[in-house]
Amino acid sequence: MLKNRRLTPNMVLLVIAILLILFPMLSGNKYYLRTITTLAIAIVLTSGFRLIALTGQLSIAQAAFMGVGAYCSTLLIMNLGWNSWICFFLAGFAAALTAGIVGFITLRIKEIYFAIATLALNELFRLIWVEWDTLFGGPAGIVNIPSPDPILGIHFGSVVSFYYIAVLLLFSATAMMLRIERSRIGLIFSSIREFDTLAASLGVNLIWEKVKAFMIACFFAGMAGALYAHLQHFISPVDFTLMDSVMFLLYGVIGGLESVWGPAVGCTVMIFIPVGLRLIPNYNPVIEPIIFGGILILVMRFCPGGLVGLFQKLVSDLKKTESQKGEQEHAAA
Amino acid sequence: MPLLEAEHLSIRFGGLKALDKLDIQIEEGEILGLIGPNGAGKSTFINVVSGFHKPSSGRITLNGENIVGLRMDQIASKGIIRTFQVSNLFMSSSVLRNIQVGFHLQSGIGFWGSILGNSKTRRQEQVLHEKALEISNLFNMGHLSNEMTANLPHGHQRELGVAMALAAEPKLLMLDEPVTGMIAEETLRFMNTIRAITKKKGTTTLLIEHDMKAVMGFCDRIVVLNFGKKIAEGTPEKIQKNQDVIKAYLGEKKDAQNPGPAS
Repeated sequence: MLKNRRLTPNMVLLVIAILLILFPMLSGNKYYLRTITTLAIAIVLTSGFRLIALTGQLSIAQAAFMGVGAYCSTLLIMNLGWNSWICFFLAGFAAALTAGIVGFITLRIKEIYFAIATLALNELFRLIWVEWDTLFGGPAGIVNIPSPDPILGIHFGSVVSFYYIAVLLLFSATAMMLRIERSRIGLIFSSIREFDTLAASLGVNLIWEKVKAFMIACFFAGMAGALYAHLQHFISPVDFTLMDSVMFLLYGVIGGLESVWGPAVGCTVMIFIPVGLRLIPNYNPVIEPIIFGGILILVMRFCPGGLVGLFQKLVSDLKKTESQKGEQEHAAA
Repeated sequence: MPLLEAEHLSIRFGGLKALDKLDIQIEEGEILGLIGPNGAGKSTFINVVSGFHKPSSGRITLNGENIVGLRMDQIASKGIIRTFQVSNLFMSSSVLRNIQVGFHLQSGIGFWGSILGNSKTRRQEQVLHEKALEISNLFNMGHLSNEMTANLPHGHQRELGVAMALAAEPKLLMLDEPVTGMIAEETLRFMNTIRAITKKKGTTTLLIEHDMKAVMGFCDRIVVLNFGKKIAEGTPEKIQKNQDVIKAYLGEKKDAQNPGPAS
């Protein structure tokens, strides 16, 4: 009886999904709506970071690929007047294609060396956007990006409509990650991380599989970038810096890279901590990096599996003590 | 035509000639034992054939087709699958997941099939799951299929390595000292299982072992290496009596050869 009432993970997800859909009707607070929109974009990016990490590689260039999507969609809409929904997908494909080309070259190197290569890559993209000012608008960026084109008379320009697009993107990205996780693709990805030589000896094409993961992650990063451009109505190279890429790494590590839910947990915690802190009177946001750094150190020292890992450990410990208790009672009887 | 043919195969590591103009033919369907003292170049041969090392010179052909210079996964996809001398496994995954990775070349499930998860894919996944269970049962590990690999006893870990390789349905299976660290009964049981499976499926097998006794009863033919060179080749009976082989294993004797206690 009690077992049937227990919350299963799927039920928790369903409740969260319904809450996300109903939220704008329950609360008209635009600040929170915008925060959740930003959160959804961050989760999509961090999930991509985790997907790449699943193959044993660390990419510190996810913000750059978000930028590729943002610039691609913006330029096509503003210079060529293309439909923004088509550009939304083209942004994803452009980022994935860029990732494919770059990945085919750089994914031959492993682990920390790949991380350094992506770090340089992020900077490279920033410099292109800054220096090629005739096309990308230079450091000043591109202003007056229009809202997405209306579909069937529905106009997209309000905070609520962006909220729904972001949530839709989040749902589809999460569904994709879950499918990968539960299919052979995820199995092969994690086999590379666990032991690449063994995987290769069983016929796994290491470079191609890693490029695949990189491309899927960057596809979603590109779409998130296009959405971001519409949301802000303004993009500049400052929006897609190395520091932003590092933040996705931070969110991922704090949430836990082992679980598919890690990025969501990490992003939620790290984005709502500042929101909560600002409720304190006379709070100065300057100290935020110190708090973030402190949390990162604590997580890495005491729960290397991230917050999700910590939760899973607590649950399994609880189950163990429960079963031990049961055994003791049984023995006593 | 032999299934695999190595001609004048050499590889140097600095000044050391690990393989020295080696010629080896492996015939379709046979179990070939490759034996020799430690450092004879047995594992190096497997590493070169599987693409882990590039030979300094020489040719390797599979069914007449050159395979030197291909990547490990390309060679694997041509049907040459190897196991490793130490228990190289996906230690933090379950036994079943290990075997599932072995199906990589055979799964027939494409990228979009996996993403969409349609009914065809689900059927294929179900078939693979059953096949994985079947393979784990062949090695008496059915009850351990959900166990984490790192928790398995050594013997089962050795068996799992071979099970994964068999899951890839190789044309040529190369086993690098599969029975290392096993006790005599385990060795016998394991070798019998391998022989039964490979003979049933017609899998050509290359078996490396430095313990001569372990291979004698199981190989159709034996090649003996010493210092990277082939010093003898033939049936197990012939090899047992070969003076060069005895010399390589036991060293030279000053007095006349002792026929041993068997006589």
